[in-house]
Amino acid sequence: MWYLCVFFHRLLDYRRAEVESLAEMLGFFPSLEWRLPENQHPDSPFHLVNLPSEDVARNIANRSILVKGIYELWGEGSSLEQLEESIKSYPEDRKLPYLTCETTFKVTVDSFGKAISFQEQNDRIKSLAYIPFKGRVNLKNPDINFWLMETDDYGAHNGLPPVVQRRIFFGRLVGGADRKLLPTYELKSRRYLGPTAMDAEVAFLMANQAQVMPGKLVYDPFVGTGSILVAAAHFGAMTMGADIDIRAVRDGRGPDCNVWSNFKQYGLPLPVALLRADNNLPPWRPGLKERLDHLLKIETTLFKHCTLPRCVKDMVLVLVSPIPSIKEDDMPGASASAWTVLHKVTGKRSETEEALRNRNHAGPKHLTCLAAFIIFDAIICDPPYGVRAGGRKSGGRKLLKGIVAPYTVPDDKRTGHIPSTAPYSLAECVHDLLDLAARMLVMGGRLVYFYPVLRENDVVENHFPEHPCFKLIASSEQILSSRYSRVLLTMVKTGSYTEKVAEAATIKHQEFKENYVKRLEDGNLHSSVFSPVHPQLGEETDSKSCKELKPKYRGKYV
Amino acid sequence: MRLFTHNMLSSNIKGVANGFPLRIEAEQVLEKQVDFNPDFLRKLFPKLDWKALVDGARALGYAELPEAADSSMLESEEFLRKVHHALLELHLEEGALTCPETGRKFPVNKGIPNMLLHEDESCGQSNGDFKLHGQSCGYRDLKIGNKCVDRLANHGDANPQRFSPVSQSSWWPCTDVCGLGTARLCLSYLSLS
Repeated sequence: MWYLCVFFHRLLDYRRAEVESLAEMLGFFPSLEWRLPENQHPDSPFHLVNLPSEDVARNIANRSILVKGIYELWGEGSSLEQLEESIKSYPEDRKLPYLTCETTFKVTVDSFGKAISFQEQNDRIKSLAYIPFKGRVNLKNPDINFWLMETDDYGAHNGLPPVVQRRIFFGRLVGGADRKLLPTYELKSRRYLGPTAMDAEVAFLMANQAQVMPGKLVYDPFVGTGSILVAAAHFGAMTMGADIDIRAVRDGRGPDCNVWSNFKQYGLPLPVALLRADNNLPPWRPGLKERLDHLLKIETTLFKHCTLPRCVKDMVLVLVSPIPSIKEDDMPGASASAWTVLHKVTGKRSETEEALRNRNHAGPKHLTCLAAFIIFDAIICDPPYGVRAGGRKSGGRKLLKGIVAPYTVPDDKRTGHIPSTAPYSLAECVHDLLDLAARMLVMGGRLVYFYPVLRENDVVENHFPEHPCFKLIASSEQILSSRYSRVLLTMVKTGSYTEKVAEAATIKHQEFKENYVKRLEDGNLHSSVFSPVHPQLGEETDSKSCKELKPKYRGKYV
Repeated sequence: MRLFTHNMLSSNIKGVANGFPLRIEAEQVLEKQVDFNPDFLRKLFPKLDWKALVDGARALGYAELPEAADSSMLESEEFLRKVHHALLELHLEEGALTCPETGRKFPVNKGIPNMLLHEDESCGQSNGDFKLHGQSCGYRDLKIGNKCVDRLANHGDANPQRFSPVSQSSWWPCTDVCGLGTARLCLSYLSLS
């Protein structure tokens, strides 16, 4: 059924991605259908989305950060008359249950892009007299919330292109985001902060993109002050963090001002582990070989006489892999719909069915092996990309360049020795991150991280890091200045990690580095963000006209 | 540091083939109550290295875990409680983790294991790979016994130029800590490719 989804007018790129990821988390598999109401720009806060049930809609809305409300749309129109007609034609059996005399209700009048005076609001509500409300009005705690929303000519004010036509919506509220989280978790009341602590709202968005749920294990290899893990812990995940800076991760600013205290402050469960480690040389135990054996066993059981292409087989493996913390009987719909999708994709009914039979034959015990030796359900991080904080890795600068030979620290000086570190370039950092994620994430696990992008003349290059094990499913841009922005990338693990894959990934990475990252490296990113803009050549009038030429549209800046 | 973490960590010193499990040397052990979550333990069980967990628990002074375990034991709550206690409630606050192969100690301080490597342990992994006998190798391969100087110079298949020290400063006498705790003096030899 189609619902009206109204967003808060901020972080425009993140809005649909968040809803889609939450829908998948709640077990609704095929990708969501979206539609725009008549005469609406894609950046408008009004969207129509097709969701399977009201429960799904409510759960998505309540968990989200950017959804102002999901509404059952009773009517819409360009004028109040059209709205009346539309509401009247909406099926009675859908309206009546919410209009009975046992219920209490409230009508809220809202607008986008303009203010409506109190008097006008009252008039609007009174004009709804044609709806047979029988319940009592309760303004504080109503059972049912009705919303009358309209958008009108806002032209220059909101950074959106001018409205072609006025549009009015009337609907019943199903659910909305709990924005009270944000003042609770806002950074200014956080005890322990670093220069790059992640903003609470964005941290929650990242957690939603990573589909964080109770019982999942979330890892942040650049934990810093733990601001991302705090958001993940709020949603019930077990958290784990590492950082190369031992002062950040162990000492903080005293016994009551460190990463642990940030969790205690909100009464959240403490991280399962914090450690000091280098993302360039991660200390995790290898378990690759055993895992592959298990995988092979399952593959041979599942696809005995199967001629399905490789990618489809991989997909099946993802689908049958148990989603941790959700029991099969909690969401029988999920795996069933997954198989329907598969069937549609392949169009080979008999083979899909055989794989399905074999799946039952393989039994849950085998399937749990899929998850063996890989441990994290999600990796969420904000890698240091050298604008506000530069990354470091083991090995001195001179050491890595070969100016100085490696030396061994004498035994008596070993205890207090501080190993030297060298700058950690963005390309290397991202490569290591993808490699780690490919090795350590469960199938279907998510990698969510920020990646910097230079903006030149408002043109953004869409070249993001790739890995054979991962599929990029969402990229949401947040503009930070006129010259650079960061993109939140959400990748899902779809292939298993083998040595061959690792090799292919390295080659892919080299190409990527040559073609796209070079521009960002060697302090280029830093200087292009911080160095002053070269003044326009020519006279003042020229620069003025330049300014005027700049498009007024600034949708993504909100 | 919990044993849960210990079960995931290994020594990643360049050249160490089998750095798991790390031996625990405990100085201070804490016990902190954690909510019991049997589902999480069942999910985690197949991923655990059981022997490492048992040995680790012993090192922290908890010897209740059985020597061997299989998934059928997950039905018993008593067993799960024990696993829960060992895995999540015991904390190594102060101490060290020892690499089983080289004997290198990774200190654990205020509950945070410090897994960062020293210069001689991490090098050679990145860009500046070294060459030995024309093949790329890590720094550890260059640590040869005390006769290395003459040997290398007269080595049949070695290209003398490749092995001649770049300058006097790239000669490094160093101690090599062996697994048994004995130390021997080595001369390391560097050639830049």
